[in-house]
Amino acid sequence: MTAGKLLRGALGLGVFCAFWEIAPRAGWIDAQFTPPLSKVLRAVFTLLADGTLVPHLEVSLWRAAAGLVIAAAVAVPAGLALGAAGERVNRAIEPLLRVFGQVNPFSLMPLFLLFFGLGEVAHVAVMAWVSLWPILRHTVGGVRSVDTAILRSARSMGVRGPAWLFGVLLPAAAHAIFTGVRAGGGLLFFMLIGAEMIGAGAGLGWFLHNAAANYQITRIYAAGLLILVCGALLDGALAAFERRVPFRIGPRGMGAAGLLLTVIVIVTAPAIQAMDRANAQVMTDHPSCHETHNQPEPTPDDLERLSKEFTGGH
Amino acid sequence: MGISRYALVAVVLVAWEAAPRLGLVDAGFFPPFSAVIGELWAQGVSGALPRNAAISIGRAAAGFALAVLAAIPAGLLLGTLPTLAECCTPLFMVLAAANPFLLFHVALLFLGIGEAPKITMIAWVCGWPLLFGSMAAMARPDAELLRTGRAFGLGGWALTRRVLLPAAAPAIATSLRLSAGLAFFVLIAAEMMGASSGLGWLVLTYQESYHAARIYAAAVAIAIPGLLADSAFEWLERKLSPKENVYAIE
Repeated sequence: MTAGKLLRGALGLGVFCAFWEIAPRAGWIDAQFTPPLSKVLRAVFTLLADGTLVPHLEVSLWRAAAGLVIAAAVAVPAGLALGAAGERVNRAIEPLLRVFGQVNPFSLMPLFLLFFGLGEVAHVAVMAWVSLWPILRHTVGGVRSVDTAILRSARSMGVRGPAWLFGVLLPAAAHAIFTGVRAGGGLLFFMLIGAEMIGAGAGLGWFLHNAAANYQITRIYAAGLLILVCGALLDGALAAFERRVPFRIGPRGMGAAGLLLTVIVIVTAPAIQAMDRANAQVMTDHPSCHETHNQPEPTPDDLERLSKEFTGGH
Repeated sequence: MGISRYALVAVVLVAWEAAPRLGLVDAGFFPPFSAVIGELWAQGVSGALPRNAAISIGRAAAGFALAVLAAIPAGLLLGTLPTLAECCTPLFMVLAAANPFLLFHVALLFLGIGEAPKITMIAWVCGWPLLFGSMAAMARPDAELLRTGRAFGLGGWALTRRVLLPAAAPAIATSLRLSAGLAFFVLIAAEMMGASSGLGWLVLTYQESYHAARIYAAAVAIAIPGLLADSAFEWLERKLSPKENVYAIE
């Protein structure tokens, strides 16, 4: 059953890939605009092997990680507190959360630039804002749906303070929290690429935008494919956490929560430095990226298309 | 309920007004709420805000409508064809994970500069939740409902129309709400990337002139249509949910 399902799924993907390879070669679609899959894959490997893409990949992943960790660091404690605070507080806070959740992160970008200046902090702040709201919503929901029998028996056993928080409440709501982290992470990666296209000097989104500005079509697809893979890997990693939540209710849950917290701090502390380093590397690699149009001469097709665009199709 | 629900919103607004006036935060970065509302009014009267808002809402609505027309029928159909659905699901999941902004550049290649790439991008973003939502709703109907429908002598198209579709409606409404939220998120970014009209473009021009109150006003203006759409689809969701929805079995 599962094997058959897997096979059928692979068949669907295979047909799509085959179509992507054959259609441009057979001339069904313009190979200028859609290079065959093999050519795109070769471009991905070349760009990774010669190191062109590595700093961009690095900077994008650091931004995503830092944004997600900051969002979780704010939203999980706040969600735990709000969820445990009772019905009336929740009812009062709900409309506010909803309004904030609807504030478009891109309309905030100019404001964050005002507050934090040009640079990584503004980017990471926008990313944290994007993923904050799903995590907060899921955490509050998770705490509120914890089995009251668990809470009551913990209380009757005299569990209080940090032991109650890390040993009972957090593990009991952990599944919902990780669902929120996964939703927030997905949204964050989604928005990160867009943010990098609008205003950044490095990153996968910037790389794709730059390739598009320079009409390097194979590079557009190569960067796109890599973004797709990164998004899938991020989602896969967060989904694995969601399935196998590392906390158990009880004293050992406390240890696990502490350990995870320490690991997160150790991992993210050098994030800003790493981002600065990657940015600097990109700047030295391409001193003025937007001005260099080091690509082959445009073909007659390109020129015809461009002239059509400028004359509005006449 | 009632007024007390919005008490906290009022507290936040008062704090927003008071903090810059008392000098707790720099009013140049963080203008008081009344200044933002004043700017919102001024831009509204001058016509810049309504004109660009209408353009943005038109784009979002066009993309959303396209997604609804394409994805919901396709999802409903695939929900009834399990083998085909199994073939397509992994591919669809990969495509759904494809970032809309990279699609924007590819659409730009094929469709040229103009409205079409933006609308395509919104339709793409909105389409996947709708497709998956309607597919899942159709593929896993409530067994008891199905048996009841059959016991009443319904079969084939009549069963689909009178039992399966109404039963799938709340789940579809939920995915509509999710999609509508995404539509506006993505549109603003697209307008910032390459447009000469729309709310996203307006924010960018305000940013370039470093006019903080106008940036806030535009951010408020962008949040309003999103909130309205969210409330409308939440209402629809409630309306279609089993408690209020009487299945059309007579």
